[in-house]
Parts: sequence; structure tokens; C-alpha cells
Amino acid sequence: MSRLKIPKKSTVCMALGLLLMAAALMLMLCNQWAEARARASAEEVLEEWQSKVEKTEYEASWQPTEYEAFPDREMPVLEINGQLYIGTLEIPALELTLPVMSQWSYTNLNIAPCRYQGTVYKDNLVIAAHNYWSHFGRLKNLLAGDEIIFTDTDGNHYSYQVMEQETVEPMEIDRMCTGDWDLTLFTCTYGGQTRLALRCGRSGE
Amino acid sequence: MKLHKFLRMLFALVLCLGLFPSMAATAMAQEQIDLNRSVSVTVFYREQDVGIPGAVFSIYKAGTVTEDGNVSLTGAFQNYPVSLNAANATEKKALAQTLAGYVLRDGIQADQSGTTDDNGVAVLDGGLFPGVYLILGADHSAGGKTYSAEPVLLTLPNDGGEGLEYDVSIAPKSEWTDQSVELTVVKIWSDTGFESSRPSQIEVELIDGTDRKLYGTAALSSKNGWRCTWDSLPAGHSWYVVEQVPQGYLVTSQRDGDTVALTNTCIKVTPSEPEDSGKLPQTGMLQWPIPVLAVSGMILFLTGWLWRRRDEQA
Repeated sequence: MSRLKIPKKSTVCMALGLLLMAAALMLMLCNQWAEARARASAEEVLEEWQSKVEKTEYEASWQPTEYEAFPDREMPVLEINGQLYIGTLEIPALELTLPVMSQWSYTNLNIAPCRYQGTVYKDNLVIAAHNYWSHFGRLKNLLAGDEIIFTDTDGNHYSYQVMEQETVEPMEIDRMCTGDWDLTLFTCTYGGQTRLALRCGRSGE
Repeated sequence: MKLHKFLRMLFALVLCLGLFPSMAATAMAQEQIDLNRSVSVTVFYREQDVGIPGAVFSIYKAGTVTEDGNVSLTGAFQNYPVSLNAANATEKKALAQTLAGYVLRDGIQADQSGTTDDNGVAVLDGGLFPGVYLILGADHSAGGKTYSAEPVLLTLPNDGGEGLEYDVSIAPKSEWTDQSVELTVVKIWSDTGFESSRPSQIEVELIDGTDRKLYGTAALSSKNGWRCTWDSLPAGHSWYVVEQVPQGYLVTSQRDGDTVALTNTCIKVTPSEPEDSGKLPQTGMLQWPIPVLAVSGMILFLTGWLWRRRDEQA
């Protein structure tokens, strides 16, 4: 009767090491897959958006619209692939343009940035997105003075300038959503323990 | 000792003098309404100081008032999803427009009517007692123009700041138009925390205020941005928008030029729970374990490999 061969310590160690490295690789591939899916879904929505929304001549200044008379009204939305979108966000310094969904949920955040709170017409819009490279992953690279443009479904453009970045704790909802900032974009920091908030003010104000 | 006594008397005097104005003010603010005293409204209907004769004004009792000034809807108005508590002139104007739309749509009978004389004056004073009143002028044609009076909502007696006024004068603004108009209706939701209570769509009715009949209906939903536009409306007519208000909401209709804003205010108290109660959403990919796993794995693998080499060399 042959005896059961006990693997050597060295073999166990190497096997464990390989296992851990394989796990790291799997996680990295999963993240890459999620990133690719998010990029593809945002691009698909943008294509659809551009074919639906009337193109208007871009102007740097703030354009008053009928919404200014009634800023409490819901932001108009466009339905694309069964989801509702309030506009697009363009960040020239990152060569990035993204659609913005009307309401946030974890499902929606996998597709595109989402409005977390507020309305562009009351200068209190807060937008959240995952830190995918193709979504808000590069916000930390923006500098004060960088331009951001929000376009609503009627093609009205609203220009902002980055004022500052700040780190906000997950429980600090009030701090994220209140204050004098006209536009706030936020995403998780590396590690997911805190949130990076990009604070912006209307251009020319 | 005498000084001490004097200071105590002085303090008591100052205290009394300080209390007196506040007591007087309190007494004034608490002037009770005499519910048995009659009220009247005199309408001055003019265009650039020239009286508009022959215009019919009607008065409708929309609410009752208590001696303390508390108001509540009455009669046919009890069925309407509105609140009579208007905080300022703008809200009062919006409330007047909202109630006017219902009156015209439902053909509510006026409590009294009067016609303006050559000076554009009409007096409404027959058997009216304290309450909340809507004064509505019928669209009127004169000199080739159509005049449309702005609806007015009054609480009678009116508290003008210098006591209660049981006989009140109003000068409603008149608008006239001979052009075809376009009217846009936009919906505003005032229901933070209760967004899930909203219906998927609501019906609005466009009322021809001149002919006092339904002109058309439209459906508002998120798919059309909760708005609609009627264009090429017949010239020389006034227009009101009435909403079929969903359960659990009150409505006000506010006109600003060619836009009517219908605001729905939720009357519930307990808000619904948000998806991630009390915490900002988790918007990060799981990345930090990658370097931890990779480095740990490499260290373990290297350690095992070095052991094996040592064992083989031994």
C-alpha cells in the first residue's frame, strides 16, 4: 500500500502564491471588463443622443431659457434605450464627453454618470459616476480653471470652471450637496473609502 | 438703602414700559372678525385710467373664515386640490388663477354679479359676509378690443395693516389681445422624498375663458419633459389650464407670459427611503486588493521557490 505523499512546504507556498496572483489577475480582468462595458454603453448612448438632440451653435456664455422662469421644474429628459437622460457633460481637458442619467441607482451607474441631486437651472446640480477611466476616474487630474460644459436636452449649454477638489466622507451627504457650488461631480477615491468631489462654478460669474 | 430701593423702582418701570408696546401689538393682532358684519367689493376696471364699461364681474365664495382668521374651503370649492394658505402676493395670484380655471371648467354659479358703469366701476355688496372670495371678470369686448381681467382672491375682511377692512376696493389688471397666441404648460413637482408617488402621466385641460368651455386636453409625462404647447390658439380669448391632480397632491397654476406652470405639492409626511440611506453611493471599482494579492502572491511564490532550491542543493 503506497503512502499518501504530503506536498513539501515549498510546493504549497508556490501554489498559494500562484493562486493569489491568479486572483489578482481575475480581479483586474473583471475590472477591465466593467470598464469596457461602461465605455461602450456611454458611447452608444452618446451616439443616440447626438442623433436626437438638435445641434445648437456652441456659445461660451450662459443662455437663459424658459426654465429660468420656473427653476423648480423637472429637468427635461430624453429616453434612450429605455433610460432617461438629462444631458451631456463635456470635459475638454480630458477629451471626455459623457451622457448623464436623470436618476441614480447602482444599475444606472454601470451605464453612465447619474444625477445625484439638484438641477442645472438652480445651480445645485450634483453628478455621481464610477471611477472608471472612461467615466470619472480621471477627475483628479483636473486643475482649477479647467472648463466643463453641461448641455441639456434642448441643446442649451451651461459652462463651468473647476474651482477645487475636496475629499468627502461617505456619510457627509449634506457637505457634498450643499454649499455655493454651481456644479459638483463626485466619484470614489482609490480604495473606495472616501469620495472625491470636484467643485465647479459658472463661467463668467 | 434708598438708592437700592430707587433702582428697584426704576427697573420695574422700565419693565412695564417695555411690556406695554408688545401688549398693545398683541391686542391689535388679535382683532376678532365680526362674522355677522357684511362685506363688499368695489371693482375699478380701467385701462390707462379710462374706465371699461359694461364688463360683468362675479364673486364666488371659495372659503369660510373664523373669528381668528383661519380659512378653509367651502361649498363646491371643497372638492378642489388646493390650499387657501397663500404666503405672499405671488402665491395668492397663482391660487386665484387656479380657482378661476376650476370655476370656468365646472360652471360654478356665482354668489353675485355686477356690471361696470361708464367709469368702469362695479359694486358687489349684496348679502356678502366674511369669507374667502374669488372675483372673476367675464371677457369683454369694447372698442374693437377684447378685455380679460386678472382673477383676484380676497379674504374679507382684509387685514391691510391698519385694522380690518370690510369694504374693499380692487383694480384688477386688464389684458387684451387680438393676436393668436401660443401657450406652453410646464409641470413642477414639489415632492422631495416622495418622487415614487408620482403618476407616470397626468392630464391637463385647456379652458377657453371667453367661451367658458373646454378647448383641448394633453398628457404630460417624463417622456415629453412634463410639458406641452398649444399653438395658434384663437385670437381674442383668455386661457386657463386645469390639471387632473393625482391623489396625494395639491396644485397651483401660475401664469408667466405665455407659460403656465402647474406645481404639484405632495401632502404626505413620511418620505420614502432612498436607495443608499445615509451614505453617498459607492462609486469605486474594487481595485485595492489587486496589488495586495499580486504582491502577496509573488512573495509567497518566491519564498516557496527559494526553499525548493535550498532543499535541492542540500
